[in-house]
Amino acid sequence: MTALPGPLDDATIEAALARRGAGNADAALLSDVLAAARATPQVRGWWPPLRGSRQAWALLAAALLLAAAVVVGVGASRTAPPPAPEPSAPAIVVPSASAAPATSPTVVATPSAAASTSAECPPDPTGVTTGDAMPPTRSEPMALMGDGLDLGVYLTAADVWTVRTGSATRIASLGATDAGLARIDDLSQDGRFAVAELGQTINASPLVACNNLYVIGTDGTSATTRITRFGAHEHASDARFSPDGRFLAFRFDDLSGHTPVVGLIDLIGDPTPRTIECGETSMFDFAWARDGHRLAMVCGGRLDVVSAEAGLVESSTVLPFHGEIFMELAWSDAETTVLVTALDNGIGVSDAPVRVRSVASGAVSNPVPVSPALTYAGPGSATAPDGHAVAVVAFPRDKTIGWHVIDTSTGAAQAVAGPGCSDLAWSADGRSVLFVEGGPATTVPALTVVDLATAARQFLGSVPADYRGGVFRGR
Amino acid sequence: MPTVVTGAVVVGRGEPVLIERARAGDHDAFEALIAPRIDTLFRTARAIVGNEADARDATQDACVSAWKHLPRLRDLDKFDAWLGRVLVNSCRMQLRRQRRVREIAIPADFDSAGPRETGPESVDGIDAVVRAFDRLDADARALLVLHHLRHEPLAGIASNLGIPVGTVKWRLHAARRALERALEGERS
Repeated sequence: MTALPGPLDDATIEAALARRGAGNADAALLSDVLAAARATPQVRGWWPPLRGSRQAWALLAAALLLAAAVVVGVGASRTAPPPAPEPSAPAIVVPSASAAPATSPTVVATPSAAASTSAECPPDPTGVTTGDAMPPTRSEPMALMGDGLDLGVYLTAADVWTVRTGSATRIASLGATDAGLARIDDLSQDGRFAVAELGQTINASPLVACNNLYVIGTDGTSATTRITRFGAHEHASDARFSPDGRFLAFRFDDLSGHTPVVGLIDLIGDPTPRTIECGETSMFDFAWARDGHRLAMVCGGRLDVVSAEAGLVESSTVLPFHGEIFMELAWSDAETTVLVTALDNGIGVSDAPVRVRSVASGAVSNPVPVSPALTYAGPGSATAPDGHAVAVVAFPRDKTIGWHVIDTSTGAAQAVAGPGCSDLAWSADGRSVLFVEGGPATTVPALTVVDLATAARQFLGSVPADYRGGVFRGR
Repeated sequence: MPTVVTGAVVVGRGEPVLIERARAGDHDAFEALIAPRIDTLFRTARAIVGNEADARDATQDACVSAWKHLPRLRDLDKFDAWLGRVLVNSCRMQLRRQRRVREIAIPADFDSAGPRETGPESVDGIDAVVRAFDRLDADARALLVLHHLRHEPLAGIASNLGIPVGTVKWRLHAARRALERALEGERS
C-alpha cells in the first residue's frame, strides 16, 4: 500500500510541487520560442483594448458625439459639448474572429466560402457528419427501460446519441473531433436541438485547438450547424439555450489574456456572435430568466440583469459579500434571482457553510443557512424547472461528497446522489432528479431516477463503456 | 524543509522600455524580456501539466502567444501578470485534451481513515501528493502552483487569473479540498 503523507499541510504541498516543477528550461527551448516568435506576426488593431474598458467606450462615445456636433455645425459656435454619458455596461461587441454563420440550423459543418476563420483554424476543424454520411460506429447504444426519461443526448468516444426510451439513436459522428474537447452543453426547451462544444487540435500541437459550438438536431434527421467561427485562442463553453429557444448564451474565453465574458447568439435574428461584458471584472456565472429575454450575470461583486436583445443593463445590484463566496446562480421566479453562496472561512479551512440569498428589485436578502448544514465541495449545479430548488455538489457532516437539493426559499437540503455521480438533471415537474450513478459503490454506471418525496430509486439503464457525458431531462 | 522556488521576476528599470519595443515588433527586445523568465515559466508549466514534454509545449505556446498579442497589452506594469495568465491558459489548453471531467471517487469512510504514519519528509508520501495532483483539473492545478510553488500573493494570483481576490481565496480552498480528496484516492 502506498504510504500517505501526514495531514496535508503547506510544507507537503510545496515539496510535492517543487518536485513536479523541478528543472530548468534549456537553451533549445528559448531558441525554439524565439524562432517561433520570429515566424509569427503580431496582432494589431485599434479595437481590442476597448473590449473590456468602460472608460474607453465613454471616450469613444464622446469622440463620436463631438464629431457629430462638428458635422451638423453646432460645434463651431458653442463651447465644447458636455461629456458623453457613460454607456451602459455590459457593452455588446463582436468577437474578433467571428463571422456570420448560417442563418438556420440546416447546414452541415463543411468548408464554406462564407466562413471567415482565423488563419490558425481550418474551415472544418471537426469533420462532423450526420445521416448516411456517418461511418460505422463501434459504440454500443444505451438502452433505457421505463418512461422516466423525457430526452437525453450524450457522447461516446466518436458519436453523439439521442435517447428517450428503448435503444438510443446515433445522430452525429464526431469525425476529426478530439474526444477530449467534446461536450454536450444543453437541450432546447422543445427538445428539438442540442448544443455541443466540438473541437480539434491543430497542426499536431497539443496546445492549439479550434473549438466551436454546434447545434445538433435531436431527431437524427436534422443536419448539424456550426454556429461559431472562433480562432484558436477563443473558446466557447457552457452554452445554454434561452427558454424560448431564440438565443444561445455561452461562456466566452479569449485565451490571450482577457477575462471571461458571456457570448450571445441570436438563433432567429442576426446570428453574429456578440459578447456581453462585465466591464473590468470577470463574469462568473449567468442564468436565463424565464421570459428568455433577460440574462442575470454575476459580474465581480455585482449582479446585473441584461436585456439579451439590446445588450443594456436593466438592473445592477451590488452584492454585499463580505467573507462570502459565490457558488451558483438561478432564477426562482420571474423577478427573483437566487444566489447560492458559502461562508468563506479562509484558505485551507474546509468548513465553508452553504447558504442562500435572493435578489429582487435591487435588494439582497439576508443569507438563509442551509439545513442540515452543507459545506462547499466544488462547481456544478442544476436548477429545478420552477426555480424552487437548486442541486449542488457539497459535503454533508459525514464528508461524503455528493449532490444535494436545496430549497431556495427555506434552505432545506436533501442528499440525492453520492460520490461519482454526474450529469444530474430534473424532471419537468421538479419532483425527481436523474443522474448517471457511478463511484466506488457502483459496479456498472447507470442512469438512475430518485423521487425526492419518497427517496425511491429507479434504475433506467446502463450507460455504455465509452460514455463521455451527456445532458438529460426527466419526464 | 520545503523547497522554495522563486517565481516572481522583478521588473527592472529598463523593462517598460523593452516591453514597449517588443510591442512595436522588436524581436531582440522580446528575447531580452523572455530569457530571464523562461525558467520560471517552464517550471510553472511543468508543475501544472506534470511532464517535461508538455511543459515545453505549453511554455513555447505561451511565449509565442504573448509575442503575438503583446500589442494588445494595455498596462505595461502588468506584463508579468498578463504573461502568467497566458501561460496558465496554455497549460489549461494542454489539459483540455484530456477528459474534461475527472471523477474522483471518495470512500464513504472518508473521515474514519486511521492515523497516518508518514510526514512530509516521506518520499512515498510526497510522491502520493505528486500523483494526486494529476487528478485535479487545470484551474485547481494552476491555483495551487501559483500559491504554493511560485508563492505569489493572492492579489498577484487574482491578477494572473483575471479574477477578484475573494474568488481566488475560495477557489484555492476548493482546490486544496480537491487535492485532499485526490490524495485519499491514492490509497486504493
